[in-house]
Amino acid sequence: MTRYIVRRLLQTVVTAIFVTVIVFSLARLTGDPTLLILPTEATEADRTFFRRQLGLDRSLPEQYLTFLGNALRGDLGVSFRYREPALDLVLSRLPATLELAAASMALAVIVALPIGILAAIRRGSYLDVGTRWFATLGQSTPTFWLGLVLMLIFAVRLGWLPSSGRGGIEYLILPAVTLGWYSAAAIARLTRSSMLEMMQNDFIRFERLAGLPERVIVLKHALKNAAIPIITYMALQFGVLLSGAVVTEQVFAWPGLGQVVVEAINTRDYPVIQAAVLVTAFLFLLINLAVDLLYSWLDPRIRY
Amino acid sequence: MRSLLGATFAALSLIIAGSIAAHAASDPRHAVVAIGIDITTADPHKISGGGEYMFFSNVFEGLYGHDLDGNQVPQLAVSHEVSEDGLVYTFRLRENVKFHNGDPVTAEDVRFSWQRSNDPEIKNPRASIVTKNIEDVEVVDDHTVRLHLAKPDAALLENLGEFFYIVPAKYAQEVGNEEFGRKPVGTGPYKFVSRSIKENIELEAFEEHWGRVPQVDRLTLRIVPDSQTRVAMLQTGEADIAINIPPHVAQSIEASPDTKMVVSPSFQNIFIVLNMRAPHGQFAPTEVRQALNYAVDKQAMIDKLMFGYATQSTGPCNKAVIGCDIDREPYPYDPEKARAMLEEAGFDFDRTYQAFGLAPGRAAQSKEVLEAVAFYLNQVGVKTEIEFLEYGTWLARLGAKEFDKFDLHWQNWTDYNRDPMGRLPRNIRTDGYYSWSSYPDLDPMIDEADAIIDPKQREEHLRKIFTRLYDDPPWIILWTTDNTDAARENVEWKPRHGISWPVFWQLSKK
Repeated sequence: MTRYIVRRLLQTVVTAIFVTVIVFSLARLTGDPTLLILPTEATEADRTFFRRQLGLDRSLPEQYLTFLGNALRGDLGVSFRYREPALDLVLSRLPATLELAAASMALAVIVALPIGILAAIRRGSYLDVGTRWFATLGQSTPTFWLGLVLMLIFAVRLGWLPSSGRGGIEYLILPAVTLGWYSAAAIARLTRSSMLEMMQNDFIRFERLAGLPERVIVLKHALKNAAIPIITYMALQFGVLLSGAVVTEQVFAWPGLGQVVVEAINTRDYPVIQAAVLVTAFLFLLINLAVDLLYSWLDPRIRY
Repeated sequence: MRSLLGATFAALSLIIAGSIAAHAASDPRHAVVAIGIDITTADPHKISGGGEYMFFSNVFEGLYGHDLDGNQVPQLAVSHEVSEDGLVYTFRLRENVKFHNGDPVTAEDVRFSWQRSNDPEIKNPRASIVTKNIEDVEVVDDHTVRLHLAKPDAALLENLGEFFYIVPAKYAQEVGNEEFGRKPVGTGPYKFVSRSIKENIELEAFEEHWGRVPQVDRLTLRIVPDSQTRVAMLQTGEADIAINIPPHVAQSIEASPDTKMVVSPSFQNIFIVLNMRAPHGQFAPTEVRQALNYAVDKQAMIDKLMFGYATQSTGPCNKAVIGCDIDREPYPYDPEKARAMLEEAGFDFDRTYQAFGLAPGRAAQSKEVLEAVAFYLNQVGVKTEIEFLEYGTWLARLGAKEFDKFDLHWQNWTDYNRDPMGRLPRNIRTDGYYSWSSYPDLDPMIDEADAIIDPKQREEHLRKIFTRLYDDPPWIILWTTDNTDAARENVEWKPRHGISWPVFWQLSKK
């Protein structure tokens, strides 16, 4: 097990280095940052001066090696725009995004698992039809639209919840529902189909014949076995939530990573783009690792 | 399961009740302003974009500045004298003015601020506008300071307000550059309290200000990128003022009894640049460019696309800009005349002309405006193919000036104040960074403009340039847009005329 974890962590590092190459090159494809940092009155001499100050006058491989060397020491450069260390900027925004993503995921699971399970065991019922409708509608509703509609209803019309910003739990509800909506729909659908498949299995029939209570069969045996695809999907969804947060954060002025990334891309703030993508990639890799470890708990046949 | 649901419901009800109470609380001594973009720095010598002034024009001051009507007025100075050659400006400083930390403002601070804004370590992106041209700042006595210029700069006073902020020498040296950026100290009506990037900026009234003590004690600038969300905040009462409301949303603001639009003239101008230097030469004749100005129904576009929040213009400048009030009327809409003029000039109607514009999101209706122009041009037989670019790419293409590839493009021109010399050299002078035109006779006139010290004479000189740019236009002149902000009904607030970034010391709540 320990060897496995060490091996996976090493893989994570290799993947991360690979990610740095891609991110570094992609960021530079966006164009010359001095155009956006300097006012439009700036002269070519001003721009040259700035490029030299930012180290952008050196060759790309040289820039990359400097970046990598610094990155290994935990220094991801200074934001062109905010002139603050890029990593600090990203890490200071990360809790807000994680809070939002976790709340959305929790909401999605609380809603989706029960309705997915119920739809599966009451196949063909109104609940099942309703679940399928929810799955289709939920997955096809654009986030920015849903966010604005929820805001109009619950903040502007009813005045129950604040329209935007981050504060107490009341500020979290609308963005979490907006962001979690898609995942809830997707997880409900997947739970339903996995459970349906599982319920057809011979061992479930045997258990029924053996007279085990239905609750135990469904929750303990069927669900645990149906859980692997659901958990895999949830882990992937967490990545989607982190990136999906970009739109939700924009709509609800949620001070998270998404807003910083969008602005960094728009203003060609290379160090911030790099830091944000690296941190997100690391998170994603760690979540994947955690899920892989979870498999062996769910299915004792899986051994590392 | 049932008990869990019950508990969740009870918790939600509590939260909801709590938040309603929070909304109902409306403190007349605290105002919340929703703004679209965050500042990138709180250091007044590191300003790079116009959006930054939402903060700086409330917290810092220069020797001269602007009043609410956009007039140039002394701020930290009380008067000035200019030498005959226009190279020496002597300022008498206002007495008993204090920085937010209590230090008095002296001539030494002016000298230090000049040195600091030219310091290579600061990397001041705007040093070239004012401070780089200052050769020396001489301290005559505690309250007299003399600026020695490298070359005459008639726009100096107009630019002192936003491009040469005065900071406290003692404090800035004590804390160092980084700390100063974290805890900035100025002389403005509001003092800095705290800041959370992309979230909010907290300001507090500076009670000891020399003349502009705010009526509201606490001011929160909330950063809310989405304009619809800014409107929602205004409607729920979470914000007292929402800055920069796109014209198409204005109707819902006007329709509500609790909110109102606050409209003021801006220095932003919209026009379509015609590539005079295209190798095919189709836009070279003056008559062709005049004809295209007749081809476009500007008033219809203002009514339908800008919802009335713009004014037809005779050039890319607000009438209040020095020299812009020329003796001309906006080109009327006359498609027949346009077609006839084009035919007479032998215009090539078979060619498809390449146009590019700015993608939606940054300037009001930028996409719709270029599409409408393309429609009107098509009406007189000028075929165009249009594409839209995100801001950075658009800007890069403006500067790349590939004269053989693109024939016309959407452009905007925002003067920072009443002086047009921030823009003329960049957009019109043949070698200007964004210039797609060529007027060999105007180039020397543009160069001379900053050397004319007599204001009347200079105004007349600039008027000649703008008149020429109307008669022989390098663009299709569209309009000057309005600043469209919104406020709660109980808020009294008059924005500054012409200047896009608002000041809030005169804001009050009932």
